[in-house]
Amino acid sequence: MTVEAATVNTVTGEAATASTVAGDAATASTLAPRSVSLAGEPPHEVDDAALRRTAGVIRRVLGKLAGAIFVLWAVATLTFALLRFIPGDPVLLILGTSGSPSAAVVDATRKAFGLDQPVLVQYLNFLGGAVRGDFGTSYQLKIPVTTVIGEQLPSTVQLVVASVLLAWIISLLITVPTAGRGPIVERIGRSVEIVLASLPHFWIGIMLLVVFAIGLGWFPVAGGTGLTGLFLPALTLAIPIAGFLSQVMRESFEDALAQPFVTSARARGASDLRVRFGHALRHALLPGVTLTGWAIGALFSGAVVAEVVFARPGIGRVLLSAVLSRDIPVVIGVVVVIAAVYVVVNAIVDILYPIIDPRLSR
Amino acid sequence: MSRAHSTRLIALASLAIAATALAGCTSTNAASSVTSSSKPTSGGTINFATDREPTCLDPAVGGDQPQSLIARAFLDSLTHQKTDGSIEPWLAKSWDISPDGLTYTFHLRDDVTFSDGTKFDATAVKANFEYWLNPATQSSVDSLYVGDYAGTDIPSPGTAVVHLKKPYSAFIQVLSQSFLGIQSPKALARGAAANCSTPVGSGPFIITKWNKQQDVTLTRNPAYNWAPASETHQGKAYASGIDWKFIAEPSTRFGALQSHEVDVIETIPPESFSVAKASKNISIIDDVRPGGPVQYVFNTTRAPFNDVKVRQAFRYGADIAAGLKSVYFGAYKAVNASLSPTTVDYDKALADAYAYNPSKAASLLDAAGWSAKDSSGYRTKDGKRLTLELNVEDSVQPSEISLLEQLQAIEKKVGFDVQINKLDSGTSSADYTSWNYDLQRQYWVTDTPDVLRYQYSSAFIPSTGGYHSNGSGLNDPKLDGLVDDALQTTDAAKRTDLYTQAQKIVSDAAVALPVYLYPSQYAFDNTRLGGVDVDPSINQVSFYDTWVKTQ
Repeated sequence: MTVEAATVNTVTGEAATASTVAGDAATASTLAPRSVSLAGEPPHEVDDAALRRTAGVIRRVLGKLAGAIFVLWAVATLTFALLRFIPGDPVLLILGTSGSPSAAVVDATRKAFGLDQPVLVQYLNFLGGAVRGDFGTSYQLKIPVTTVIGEQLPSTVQLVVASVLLAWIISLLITVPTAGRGPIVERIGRSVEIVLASLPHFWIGIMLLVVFAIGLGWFPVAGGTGLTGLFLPALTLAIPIAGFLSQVMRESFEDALAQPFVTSARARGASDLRVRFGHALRHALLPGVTLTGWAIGALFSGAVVAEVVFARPGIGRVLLSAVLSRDIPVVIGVVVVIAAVYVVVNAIVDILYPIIDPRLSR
Repeated sequence: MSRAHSTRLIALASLAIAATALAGCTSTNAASSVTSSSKPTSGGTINFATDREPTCLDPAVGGDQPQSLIARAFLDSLTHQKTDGSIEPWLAKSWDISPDGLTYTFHLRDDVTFSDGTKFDATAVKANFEYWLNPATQSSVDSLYVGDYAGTDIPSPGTAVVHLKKPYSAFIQVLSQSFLGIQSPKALARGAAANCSTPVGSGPFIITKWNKQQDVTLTRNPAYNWAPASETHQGKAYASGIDWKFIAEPSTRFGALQSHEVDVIETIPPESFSVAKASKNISIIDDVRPGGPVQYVFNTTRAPFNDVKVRQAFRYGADIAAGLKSVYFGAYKAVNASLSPTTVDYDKALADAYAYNPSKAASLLDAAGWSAKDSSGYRTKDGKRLTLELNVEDSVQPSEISLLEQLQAIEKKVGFDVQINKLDSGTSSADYTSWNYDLQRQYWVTDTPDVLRYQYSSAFIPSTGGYHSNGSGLNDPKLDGLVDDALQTTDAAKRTDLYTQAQKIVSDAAVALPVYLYPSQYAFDNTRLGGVDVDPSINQVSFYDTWVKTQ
């Protein structure tokens, strides 16, 4: 948002159409100062500059990769440490808080999962496995953690993607027509956003379930695996995100509508719809994309409410039950996957920034 | 088995009520246009929804209620418990018990085949006993129930001679539980991962696939021809399969029944109980599990509950029946005894023990020296407040927390300061094993009064520390002797007398506050299903006799 405020001189950049001229605009804005400093130097220096730029890109990519690996390692290590040092004997939880396991059974179970070894050895074993993509065997389910996650991930990905798409649709429908329409419309729009953003998932889920699934029978109540089964849980998660999205986008949208290029576009005779969708919207996208990056990460773990209410499979529920039953390998596996999602999504957001706003490509 | 945790995570009671009320208004009689028959028909799939998903489908691993529930569909047992509580043959045609109670000779059926083609014989029986007791199996229930197993001789394939280390009068009865269902030895040899996801038995249904967090699909066993004699039919099951779904959220589960997505559900949400009762399409099975009720056990190993007068005062000061009525709308049944009335040798005389009596509670506390009161109205002794730490896992139903809050309020009237600690299962288990609690939630479902031994005998307080199924720490040599003697006797009348004495001691010692009987409740769509009933051993639903009316 501050970026837009700082650069008022971009009427030409703004006029450029999204796909084709974006690259040129990028070249123009980033290289302009540099070419000045290079002026007068021999031509082969320019090749050197290109080389240096490539090297710079590689360095940046490597740096990002190292950063990502560090984040994943730190997350896994922290989770491991937290779960190992909080009170409670995982062996008793593996055996179920039931019956009366004999000392022999307790010992055998402790050994079977390597829990009889010093914590440091357990940690190194875990790291060694993790490097090879092996997160061990679930204490509770007795199958490899990678299998547990592999079975549940597609359903969560489906839900998250659908939720984000729905959130964007809802938020565009609220923001674009109402922004900059005078104080009354704006106040209504803002109130709707605040209400949407503050609705708890559980309440939305139950209400949608009662009205549209149980009452009207338009959608399956539980565990629908097709598109109809996906809609209500996705909507449950999408509504609060749509509220947040609209809030951040409205601000930039209104800023953009006040810019000279909008006046200029209007002066050229562009219709209101064209001004809003063709010119101003692009400025509002940036904070929306940033927020979406965060939302995707948060949804992976936060989908649990929709998963429980609509009896959908997914890694949110896997994580919850694994935390409750102290199923350490599964918890770490899921947490690492969620961290990886954050890392990847943030990388994508980084890549998207300069495409959406060429002025940011430096 | 014992300590409970329901997996219901979140529930806004008021919303659930709204949900069910609205749902009740809109439920339509979908089956009215379809021909429904009251005579059993073959074919069709039973859509069943339960709340808790097992972590392993093999009931021998660990040992929790959801495992034994599904095990009844695919495992048969050596013996079978009839509705009247008596035991009849099943996979064992008959059995002889040696006079010293140490040798059980089982004569086995010779026409039984496991669904993987393995033949059922004495070798299979031996393999199962060894499997239950192998520490690598990680069993906490089966290994306890047959802990006194010494070995099996196989004089012929059709005869298994099982030796015990000590006489165990509950043996034949406990073998009827699906926890001790007989599995294919060939399948057991595949290892834990395979056996947890596709265990193999000789039951009326066969597990085909487990879609985690969704359902288990079972198909009918076409060869099945060895049902217990008391079943209403013989031969293969009526339904061609079961879709065994897991729907954790109570209002969703009930909604799925009302919208005809499922035909039968386990655990009716208390707030929907009256809606279900009023609906003519929905039939209800309202039973309770045998064994020990859901209760809050008192830690007698530390003050203030090391004083029996304080414990008795706490019981007289509690009005659980009133709390149940307001929190569960009467759907859960109150209990005052240490055994569920559906347990063999339950003593009716204790049904009304410790009826609410605040003045008696007050005089008991006075007598115990807790006569002073502080400014907040709590009793004190030597300047110390009468505080009790009540530990409960945070996975328990929110409605039970409401019940505990009512308990907290009513016990305040007699001067108890009850602190409710909602703990994660790890912390709760750590506190439990180190005796760091005054009250702790417990239950124990089983079909024998031998549960009194697991819960109250000092033999279940390991001297080395660690897990103790005797949660009160009660150490009474007379009681220990009674529950041990009861196992040694084969005379039913004598056994009843011993268990009656034992229940009296437990009741007088006031070592737990029973709150409600572990419900065994099922609701089914009677336009879709017929013949839904429970297996009497621990009153869990069995679908062998169930038929699908509309296909």
